[in-house]
Amino acid sequence: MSVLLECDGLIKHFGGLVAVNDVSCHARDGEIFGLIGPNGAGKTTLFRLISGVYSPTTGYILFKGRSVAGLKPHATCHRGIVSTHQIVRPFREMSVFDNVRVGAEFGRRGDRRRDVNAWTREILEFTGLAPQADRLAKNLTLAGRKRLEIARSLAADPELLLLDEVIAGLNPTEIAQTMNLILQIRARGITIIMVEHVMKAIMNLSDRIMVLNYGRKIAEGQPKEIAQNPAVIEAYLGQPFAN
Amino acid sequence: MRTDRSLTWLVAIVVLAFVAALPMLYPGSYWQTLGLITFLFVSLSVSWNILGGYGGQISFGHGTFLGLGAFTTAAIALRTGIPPWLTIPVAGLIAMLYGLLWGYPTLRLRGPYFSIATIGVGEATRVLMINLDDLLRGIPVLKEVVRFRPLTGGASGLTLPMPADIRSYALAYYYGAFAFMLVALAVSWWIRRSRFGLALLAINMDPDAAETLGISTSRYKVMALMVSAFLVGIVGSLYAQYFLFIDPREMFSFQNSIAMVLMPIIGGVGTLWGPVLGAVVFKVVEDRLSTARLMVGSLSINLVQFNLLLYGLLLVLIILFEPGGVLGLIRRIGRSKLSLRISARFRGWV
Ligand SMILES: Nc1ncnc2c1ncn2[C@@H]1O[C@H](COP(=O)(O)OP(=O)(O)O)[C@@H](O)[C@H]1O
Ligand SMILES: [Mg+2]
Repeated sequence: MSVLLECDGLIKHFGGLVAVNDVSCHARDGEIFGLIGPNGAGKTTLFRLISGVYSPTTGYILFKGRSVAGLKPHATCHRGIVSTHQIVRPFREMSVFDNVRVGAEFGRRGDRRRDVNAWTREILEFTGLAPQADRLAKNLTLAGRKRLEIARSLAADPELLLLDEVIAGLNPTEIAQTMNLILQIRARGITIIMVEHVMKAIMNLSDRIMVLNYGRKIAEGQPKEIAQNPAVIEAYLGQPFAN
Repeated sequence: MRTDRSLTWLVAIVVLAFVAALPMLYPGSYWQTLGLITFLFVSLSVSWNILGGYGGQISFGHGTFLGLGAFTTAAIALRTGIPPWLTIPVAGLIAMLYGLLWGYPTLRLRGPYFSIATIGVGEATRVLMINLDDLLRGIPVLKEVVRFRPLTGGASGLTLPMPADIRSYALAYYYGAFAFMLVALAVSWWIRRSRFGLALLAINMDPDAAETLGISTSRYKVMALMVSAFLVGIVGSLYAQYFLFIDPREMFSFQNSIAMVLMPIIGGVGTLWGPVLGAVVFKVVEDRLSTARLMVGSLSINLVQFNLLLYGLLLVLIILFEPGGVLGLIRRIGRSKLSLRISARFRGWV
């Protein structure tokens, strides 16, 4: 498997705070790459660097061999990187259908897409949101809104999908459904980097896992290795953690 | 829902027919001028709504486009002697370019910060335009531009030559303004159902999410401002052509910019017909206020002085109780039980 995304020496300062501190990592084509760490470790910030919400203080981000550091989010989206939001942000007064249609119209290859509505319907079917297509996004349950967040991002036709805590806060049935959806997304050939606190999910889904603590990478490896890594247990797994 | 739609169109058609026939009913009257001004204000309201209503970017700087459109037409017509209506596209274009000039930097700001910046742009433009001739006279090469004729006329304004047949001129502009209002409405209608409109709506609801999904928010906002500025510039041009006298202090006034914000909000911001309703309500209130007097004992108070107070009050009421404006109120009544009973009896009529 070839490398799709490569980050090298990424640093992000917020004033005096170093939210991401010299992180290097990569995601291979078609894999599910897990990202864990205590609250405030810099996971969301790393996602925002990759998707272009922030530009790195220093460091490289290469996507398919080309630099994407400093590009705006709409530009990284057109290159094929789409990120969900940890705190869901649906277009509240739009229907579920129109929410997804925004991704279909403006995402990667959106301007060349001949039948936007057909593609939108396909994504709604795929994510199981089709029965709710006509409802206003604000009237969905939390699980529904989290699913919409994924559906909308998928409609933008990503090659790399960044999922930021799409499972946290769901009940066991919904967790199982979303885990299943993530596997199906991977089966479509989409590479996934996911941040998640729900250990069962991240350990089962990920091919590899990276652990961040205070902005630094403290471990990387297969789920089994991570679960037994003393530094990880010390920093994270051994301690109680909240969402 | 379908009845609601066709009812809207029925009302629109009746109103349009009345408006078209008005000069025949009251030839050359006060009503004809009031009608023309209303068309121009409806056009302003509808045009502002493209950026402010669909895109959610509240601009207090649209007075700059009105003024520029008017003075572009006057300056060209006075210098070249060509018929003023030929300058209409140029007036729109100049306003649009000015929109690009100040929109590109200010639209990077979000929400209230953008709005505040536009107040600054509007005021700076007004001061610049009032002093433009004096300013140019002090600059070596540019002073040639205002050597024989002023550009804005400063405190004395500009006067266009009187047309030969004033009655048919006025009638032509009545229908011209009416036609332009329909054009502005058509543009607004088209944008609302287009891909462009979907982008603006997404930006309005959540700019960050819109960016994530591939919408270049800055590009679409600037485009919306330019379309809006183009239309407002043409209204300015039509105004100058009809009234033949324009004063930079009035054309670039903050009052005009405020009116463009108030009208769509009163009527129903972000909708197709709301800004139309809002403009009509705004003009009627203004017209009534200008003649109304309040008697307190032996004191007679002219209510015109209170118009801003009244609009302020109206705005607060709308924001508190019916953010959908007058149109929202009508729709709400339309959904109530009473009207359901009535419409059940009349179903199939429209
Ligand atoms: N825009 C910002 N400005 C200032 N500090 C920020 C900003 N975003 C995140 N931070 C800080 O950076 C650190 C990492 O945050 P974040 O990436 O959200 O962590 P995580 O997602 O791992 O919980 C936290 O200390 C947070 O307060
Ligand atoms: Mg986070």
